[in-house]
This record gives sequence, structure tokens and C-alpha cells, in this order.
Amino acid sequence: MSSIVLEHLAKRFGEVVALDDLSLAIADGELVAFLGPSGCGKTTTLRLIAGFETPDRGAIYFGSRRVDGLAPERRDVGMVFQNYALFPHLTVWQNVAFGLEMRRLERQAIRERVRAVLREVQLEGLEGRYPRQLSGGQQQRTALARALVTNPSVLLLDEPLANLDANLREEMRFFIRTIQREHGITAVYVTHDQSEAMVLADRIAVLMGGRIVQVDRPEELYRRPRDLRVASFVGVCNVLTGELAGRRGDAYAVETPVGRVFASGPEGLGGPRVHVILRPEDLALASADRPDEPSADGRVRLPGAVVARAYLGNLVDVRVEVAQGLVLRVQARPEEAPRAGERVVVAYDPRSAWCVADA
Amino acid sequence: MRGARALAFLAGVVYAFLLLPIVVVVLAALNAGDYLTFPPQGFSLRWFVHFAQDEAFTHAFVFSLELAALATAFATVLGTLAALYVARHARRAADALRVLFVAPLQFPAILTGVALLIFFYALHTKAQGTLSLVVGHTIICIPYVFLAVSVVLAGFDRSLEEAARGLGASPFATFRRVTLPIIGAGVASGAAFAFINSFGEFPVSLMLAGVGATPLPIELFDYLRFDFDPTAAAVGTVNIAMATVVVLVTERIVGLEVLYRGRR
Repeated sequence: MSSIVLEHLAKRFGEVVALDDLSLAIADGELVAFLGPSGCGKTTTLRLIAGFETPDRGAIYFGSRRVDGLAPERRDVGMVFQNYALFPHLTVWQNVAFGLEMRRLERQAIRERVRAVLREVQLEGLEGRYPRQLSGGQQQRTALARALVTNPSVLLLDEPLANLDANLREEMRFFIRTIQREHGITAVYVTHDQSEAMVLADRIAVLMGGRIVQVDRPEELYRRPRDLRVASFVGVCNVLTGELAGRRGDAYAVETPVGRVFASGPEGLGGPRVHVILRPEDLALASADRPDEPSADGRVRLPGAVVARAYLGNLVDVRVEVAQGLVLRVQARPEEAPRAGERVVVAYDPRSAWCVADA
Repeated sequence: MRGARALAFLAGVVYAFLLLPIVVVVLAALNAGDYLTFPPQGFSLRWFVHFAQDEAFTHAFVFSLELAALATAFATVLGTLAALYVARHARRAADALRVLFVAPLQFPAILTGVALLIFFYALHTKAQGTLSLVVGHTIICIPYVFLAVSVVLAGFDRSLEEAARGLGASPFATFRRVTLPIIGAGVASGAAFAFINSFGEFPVSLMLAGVGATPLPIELFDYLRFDFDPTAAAVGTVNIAMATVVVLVTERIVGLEVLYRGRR
């Protein structure tokens, strides 16, 4: 177990800049998710940490040990690949034992260790199977067992759940999280799925264009995104773009096509162009002819018309046009959701809205 | 339905076309008569006995086996390495190298033979003999291994090797424990075809055979110039049996379907 420090990493593939000056410190025992669209550099970073690629510039430390010049087999990492990369010619048992055999452990020690790890990932009884005889979830757990069996300093996971169906994926998130906690192992988890990152990670690093745009705890990232790109990558967001028009108490005032609105935001927000980010679950709907709440509560009210609604089971996704061509997505409970064409008022608390400067 | 029946008929015709000469050779070898004739006159194994008792033939037979074994060994190592290099490191030179390694298959073999003969003469005076034959056969066998291994490598997932490295395996251990077992079927089937090809090779052997270094096909050719009896057919039958055994054994052990599926 050890911390991971990435210092000014840069990597190009020919003309393509994969990583452009990436620095990050990951604490001992922490799980950091690298989140970003494809081609953002997250997998490249993981491969640099694993040693499958060498950085053009920068340094990588595991604890106080500098590893960027070391071959992969000397770094002591455990890695779970997106396609699992299980050895097809070896059984589950042999796959898991591979890393221990390479470390020349004694037979008895290997047997005990493999048995313990297979019990931990609940694969007892499948030791003699070949990977092609396993379900996706079993392959996934075999890959995890193989990565953990050597007690590596760091655990690297490259979209490990991408090939599983939705139900299993959700279950495996918690499973991976539990195992990582129990081992207290420092882990890097690459994904393009924001909900996966939210569930799993202590901190999420959002990567775009080979740089880290923001590193934060999931709640921070969701509620206080650094800019519009981060906001729209983590979760659904409505955006009101306008000009910064001063402050009122804790809130910023922003002049937008739907009038003057208020929202919280970072200290020293730069203007003049800013974006107000409104999460669908923070918006409430009221009937237009029955403004049922006193207007003195400080809530912002935006009148509009319902243009579309989609039934999602637990809630209804309502689209309200509040100005010409400006549609807000609102989450409403099915029994309260207005019909299409109805006039409504969209209301929100300025404290739940967040302003970011135009990038 | 009619289409399927027509296809089956067509396949039957093609198989008949391919297999009939073999049937004729085998039947001719079992001929009791004194000459290579068809249809055979009675049944006898006397020509096989004649073959087994003819010292020139048995020598040539053993020599061909040894030659094929050596050539296969060299061609398997070189062809596999070549395929690995082309698949992984050749980058822009890949296409050119692929053509180069397969070239012996596309050249008329007699040209390869002549070229090698001239080349060996330029090196030293004793151009014909065992050494030249081994080199020549290795060259014409390499394409078989190269192609078979290339096919398997095309479906090879490099992350398997990375996984092994990550688990602490050195590059050599990774090759031995992961890469080789997985491409092994391709290597083995390439080797099988190399062996069969070397054993039956004629044009290159014709150019490079020397005193005391006469492969079986050359010995047979010499024999047929003076004696036209069914011993030749018996030798042919032995050849066919050898090839069949090699293919069946390979199929049994590794499965030749790797050659068109790319992986097991």
C-alpha cells in the first residue's frame, strides 16, 4: 500500500497529445476515479502508472519510490483490464496463481493465498473452469482476484464494469468498493460513467483534453463544478447563460433571457458572461394560475409552458420552455407532473443553483 | 433446397477431382502386375516389400525424414519470429516484409532452386549436399509457418501480455507462459505443413541434391527413368500416408481450425 504521486506527466503519440502536464497526488488507501470522455487521456494515465507506456516528461512515485523508469513487472501493481485479459489457456485457479508463481512463492503459500482470494471474490467451486466457461461477472471477479492476490501497492482498474449488464454493474460497484476498502489499497479507477465514479470514488478527477479539469469529492464536483464542461459531464444540467449583474447577499445576480435570476457561485466569479447551472432535481413546478408559495421566500420563479414529458417510472422528466428556444428539464413526481401544453412556473432556491464563468 | 443440393453435387465433383489421383496411386501400388497400369491386375503388397528392401529407397526415405525434421525446426523458429516481428514491430515495413517472407510460396520453386544453386556455387564448390538442402528447404518452409502464426497473431489480444507483465512476469516469462501457449496452435499447424511440404518437395531438391544426400522424391524420379513398375506407386502411397498422419495428428492435438478462425 502506498500513495501515488503524478508529477507533470506528458505523453504524445505522434502528433496527438494524449497527456499535457498532468499532476495529481493520491493518498494512501484512497480510490480516485479518472472520469472523462473517450480520448481525454484517462486510460493513457493509467497505462503510464502501470508501466505499459513511458511518459515523455514527468515523474511517477509510489510512496517515496520513483517508478516511471521501471518495467511493469517491477512496479508491483494489480491491474484489472476492461476486457479482463484472463489467460484463455489457464483455469481460474491458474490465472489467479500466476502472479504468485512469478514471485516464486512456495507451493503451499500459493495454494493458501489463492484459496483465500477466491473465497473473498466468491468463486469457490469454479477453480477448474476456463475463462470461456465463465459468465461475465465471474470473469470480472476472476480478474479482480488475479489483481489482488499479490497484495500489490496499487490497484488499477480500466473500465472494469463496462462489459457487464446494468444490474450486475451496479452490484459490482459496491463489491469493488468494499474489497478496496477492506484491503486499504490505493486505487485508480478509469471510467466514462459518471454514476460509477460517484458511487466508487473518494475523489473524482475529471480529465479533458489531456488535462485534469477538476479533482474533488463527488458531492463537490456535482454541486460546485469548476466550469460548464464538468457540470454537463457529471449529471444532467440546465444552463441559463447571461451577464453577471452584481450580488444580492450570498447570491450572484445574473441577467438572462428569462430575466434576472439568482444563484450561488464561487468567490470572485469572473464576468461578464456566466452560466447558471440548474440540476433537474432542484427545480420545482407550480401551476401558473395558482402561485401557491409566498414570493418572499427568495425563490426564483420562471413561468413557461410544458413542451414534452417522458415517464421514467419513478419520476417524470418534464421539459418546460421558459423562453423562446430555452427548455429546462425538470424532474417531477408522476402524480404531480403537469400535462404537455400546460402553463407552469419553474421555481428554485438560489442556493441550489451554481454559477460558473464562461470558459 | 435445390441450391443446397447443387452445392453438395459441386462439392462432390471437386472432391472427386482432388481425391481420384490419390485413389489411383494407392490402387496402382496394390497392383500384382509388373507394370504401372490401371486398372490393377490383382492385389498384392509385393511392391511395398520391394520398396522396403531397396536400400536406395530406404536411405532416401530416412534422409527425407531427417531433412524435413531439420527444415521444419529451423523454419518454425524463424517463421514464428518473423511473424511476431511483422505483426508487432515492423510498422511501415510490415507490408514489404510480409511479401518477402511469403515470396518462396509465390515463386516457381524451380527458380528458388536454381537461385540457391548459383548462390551456393558462389560461396564454395560443394554446392550440392545436405547443408544446401537444409537451407533450401528451410526457406521454402518458412512461408507456411509465417502465415499460420500471422493468422493466430491477428486475433491475439496484447493486453494478455500486459496482464502478465503487470503480474510480475519478465518479457521472456511472458512469452513462454502466455504468448507461446496461445499462439502454439498456429505454430504447430505451420510446422505440420512445413514438414509435409519439405517431405514432398521436388524442384528445390532436384537442384540441390548431392551424392549421399538424395531425398525420396528425387530417388523416385531417378528410379522411374529406368524402371516403370508399381514400386513408384508404393512410394507415392507411403508419402500420402505420411502427410495424412501428420495432418490428423496436428488436427487432433491443436485443431487446424485456428488457421481460418484465428484463435481457438
